[in-house]
Amino acid sequence: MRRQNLGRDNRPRRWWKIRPSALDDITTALSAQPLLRLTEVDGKLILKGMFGVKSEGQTVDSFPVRIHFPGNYPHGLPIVEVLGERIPTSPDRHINSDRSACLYVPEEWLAHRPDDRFLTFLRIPVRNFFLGQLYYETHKRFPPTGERQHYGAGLIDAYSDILGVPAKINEIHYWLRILASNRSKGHWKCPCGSGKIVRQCCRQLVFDKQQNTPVWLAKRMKREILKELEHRRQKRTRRRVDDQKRDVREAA
Amino acid sequence: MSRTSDLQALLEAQHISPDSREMAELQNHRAGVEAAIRAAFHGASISIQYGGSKKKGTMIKESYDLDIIVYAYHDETRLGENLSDIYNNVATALSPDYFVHPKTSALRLYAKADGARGDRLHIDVVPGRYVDESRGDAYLHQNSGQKSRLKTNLQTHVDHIKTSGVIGTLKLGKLARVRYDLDIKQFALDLVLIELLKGKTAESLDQQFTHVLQIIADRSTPITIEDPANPAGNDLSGLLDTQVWSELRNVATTMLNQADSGGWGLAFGEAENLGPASAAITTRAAETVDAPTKPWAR
Repeated sequence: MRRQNLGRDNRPRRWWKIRPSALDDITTALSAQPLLRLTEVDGKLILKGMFGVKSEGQTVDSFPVRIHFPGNYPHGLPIVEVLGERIPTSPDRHINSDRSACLYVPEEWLAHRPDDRFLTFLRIPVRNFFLGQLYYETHKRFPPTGERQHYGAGLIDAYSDILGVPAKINEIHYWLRILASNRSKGHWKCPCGSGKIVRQCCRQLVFDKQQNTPVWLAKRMKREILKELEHRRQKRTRRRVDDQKRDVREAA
Repeated sequence: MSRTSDLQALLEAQHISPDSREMAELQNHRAGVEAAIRAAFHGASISIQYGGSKKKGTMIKESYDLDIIVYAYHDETRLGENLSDIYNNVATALSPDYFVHPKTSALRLYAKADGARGDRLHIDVVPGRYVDESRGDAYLHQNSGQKSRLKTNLQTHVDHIKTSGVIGTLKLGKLARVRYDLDIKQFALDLVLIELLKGKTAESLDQQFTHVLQIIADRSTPITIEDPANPAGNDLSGLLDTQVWSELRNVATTMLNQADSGGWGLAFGEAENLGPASAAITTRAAETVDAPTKPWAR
């Protein structure tokens, strides 16, 4: 069981007390976004105000937001909540039902981000997201830089890109089982599907992917893939039950 | 453009005209709410009227919640024997057509989507009962707070705002509250601004707004505000405590700094005055981002 870091009052200690450097990093980033301010609400730090979208040295627009920091920040990623009604709540606009912006498939950002500074988070995914929304307002579609498909399909596509393997959930799952284990064995079945063992097949490929994918990231992706597999299993079960009910009704 | 004309341009962009889509939607919903209540309490003596920013003339596009005031006459019992019953019975009457979310004294309405909560409709229904036959003061039920009921007077509140002579500045305050996500009740912010602008009604919009921001930024402790409808009975100190004031100060300071460096547009987070070039700049920027990220939907 994971040990909790508790303070004197027996409540979880605040991340900014444990890691003041993470708070310094945020306050430094705020100099680039003067209309955002840090406030503490119910023992949580929130950034509130307007996010200015800048381009060519000018502020081209701004959006009211709240940026929430999870209790395990900076390990956990901040969540951007979009306020106001300029952007409707819709998967097509990448706004979840709780008004959080779906900036990316999180593991894709974790795999490719240049660094873990908060300013980088504001400058890349947050700015890209709002630029995409401005583009959508003009062109009724997202820019050619692309968007992920909704839900599980987008997750599979993103993981396929991260790992450089075909976009098939079972194949990705098997790769992640290998990459998430601290020690892989040469006699394991090769993930390429040849039926041979790794030692006699894609040994170098497996080794390369292990070098390129940190175990913590592979574990995180494996967790998400297992959730998606479970979701698909439940969906199949529901469909089967519905079919059976329909058959019974028709027979009657 | 002068600083005052910048502020006026901001307000013009926030104007909701009577024939706008927003207003038509609100009027439709009001008709629906009124029909549901009259049908549920057939023949009851009720007053249904607009309240809030619609009646006060402080509606803005970015925050246009409509308050529908539903008061039973003082001797009317068909809505309920007591204030709590009235509150609950009005909620029950609306629940077949709307998803009703209880607030402190009001009922917030959402559309119903497959029985669950759908889109917000910008409508708050405020049930209550007139204190006496003069139909001025009214009692509202309170779900939280020290008292279970609140004495208020809609007309006094409306008059307090309408005769303040500073409606333009109140709208600017409201816009700042929305855009900066200020954690203060609109009612309290209006009272703060009116209090700080006493004797300043003849000044320009720029002078008024700068004045209030300057005082808020300079003052370390909250000012005292009173409910004009019940100065002795309703304690508003909880609406303007040191934490709320500190947030106001923080935002006032930011706005003054931004206005000094780039005008009011910058302080309100408006796009710089790029005109038609704006769309071209954003299109170019969106198509050529250095590190593309792909938005998703979970």
